[in-house]
Amino acid sequence: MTDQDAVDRAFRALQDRVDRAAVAPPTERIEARGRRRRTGHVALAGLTALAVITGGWAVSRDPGRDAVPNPPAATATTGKPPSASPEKPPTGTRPVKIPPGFLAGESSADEVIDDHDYQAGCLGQPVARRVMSEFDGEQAQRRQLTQALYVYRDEDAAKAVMRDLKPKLQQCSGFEGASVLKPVSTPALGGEALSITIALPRDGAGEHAGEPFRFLVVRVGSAVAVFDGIPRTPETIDRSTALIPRLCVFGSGCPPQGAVPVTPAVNGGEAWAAVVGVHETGTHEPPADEKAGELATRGYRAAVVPLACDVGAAAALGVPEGRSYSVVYFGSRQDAETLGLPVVRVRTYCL
Amino acid sequence: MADADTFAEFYRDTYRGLVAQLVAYTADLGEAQDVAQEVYVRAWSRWRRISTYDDPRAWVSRVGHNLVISRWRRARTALAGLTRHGPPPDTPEPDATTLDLVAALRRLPEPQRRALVLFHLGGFTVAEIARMEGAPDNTVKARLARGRQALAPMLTTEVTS
Repeated sequence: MTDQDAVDRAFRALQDRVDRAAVAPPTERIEARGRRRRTGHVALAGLTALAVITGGWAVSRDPGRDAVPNPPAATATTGKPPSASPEKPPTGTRPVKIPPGFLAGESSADEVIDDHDYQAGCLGQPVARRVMSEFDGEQAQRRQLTQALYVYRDEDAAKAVMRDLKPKLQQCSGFEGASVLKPVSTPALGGEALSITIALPRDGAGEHAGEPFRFLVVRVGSAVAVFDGIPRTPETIDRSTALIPRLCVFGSGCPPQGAVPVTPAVNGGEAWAAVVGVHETGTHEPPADEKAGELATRGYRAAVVPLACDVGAAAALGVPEGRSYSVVYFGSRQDAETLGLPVVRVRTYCL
Repeated sequence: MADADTFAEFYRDTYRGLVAQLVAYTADLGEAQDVAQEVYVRAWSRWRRISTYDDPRAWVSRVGHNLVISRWRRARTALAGLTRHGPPPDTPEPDATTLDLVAALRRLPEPQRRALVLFHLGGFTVAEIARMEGAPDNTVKARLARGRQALAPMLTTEVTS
């Protein structure tokens, strides 16, 4: 037997062994797991049902009025202009849903998964979660970056997760037993943060053995973000730098960086609506782009509102009144145009 | 449904090949099957797109490899298997030949190792591997030849000893 025979024989033996021992689970099981993941719907956890957050906090509207908005003809001339003063987040509207495009670089990521498999022993019981990965090059093992976001029912729950996580950070990084290059530290990021850097062990596929791997966990308000990259690269840091400011929407709210929006308070009041997107019929889900995430970064709240509740909106946008839209209100056209979105003049009802 | 049928067929036809590739990286059949299942869950979710690829096998092979190199993901996958489907079935311990092969493969440069695994266990041709790796055909041929050359004495030594 030649040396080359030994190579062929070893590969054949491995394949034979797998053929004998590996049993593919039923296709239905794979499909069921995929279906659960695809659905990824997360309840709004007892919060205002219609207030699907598309950035910042939501302006709440009575969902019961959804189907039967106030008749505009009866009130159009009696309303007062909406309040021009900045509003505090309405009580009970803390965001628990992760807007589409919220993670840094999400629109171009190789994978974005809601309801992903995660370590409950490390990250507790979030009410919403999302992970995204970016791979570099033809062979993704050259580099991969991962961001994961976990949103909890409230800030205390998120703090408890961080408290429990600290003593087991290395274990939760997935590299228990690996050499520690930088022990657990608490960098000044977000509300609180934990970081550990270990040397990648030679296991699994063995790539990048010995290179530093940083596991960074940052909490802001009720959200916990996890960043890692194999190997560690400047991009890992860039991604965390880009995402952390956005997390203010899960905390005390993000202050608007420009013109101050208003919250319609009076039926029939006039407002200038900066339109984030018009939703498909029968859904309150905002369009899947990064606009909502970008607005959150800039401190603007959007509300999901039936077009029928804002007289003038549907006609100006050229869409049926049966649909909803995501919108940020301003007191003047000039202010509304600062968002760089389509602007329409409306009279607000259903308040 | 055509999509469902083609996915089921693809899954049946390629599952063991993918598991074999993953065993070559991990030496652990149970773990390889966990990862393979995760790969096919992702493939199912994107099947409409992936099924249009020239060779969807290349996609599952690449994603499987990506998952294997991240222990964190691996842990999550294993956890999901436990919580959603009960404990994984008993899997036999790897035999000595497999362990020898995996140990020997780990001593090779990564490109050679990948080329060997894709060729011998993935069933990919040189041209297909070249496309996956973004390398010329001749480079892949050289990696295969050098890889086999380096592997042979390690395997015969380990078998002999």
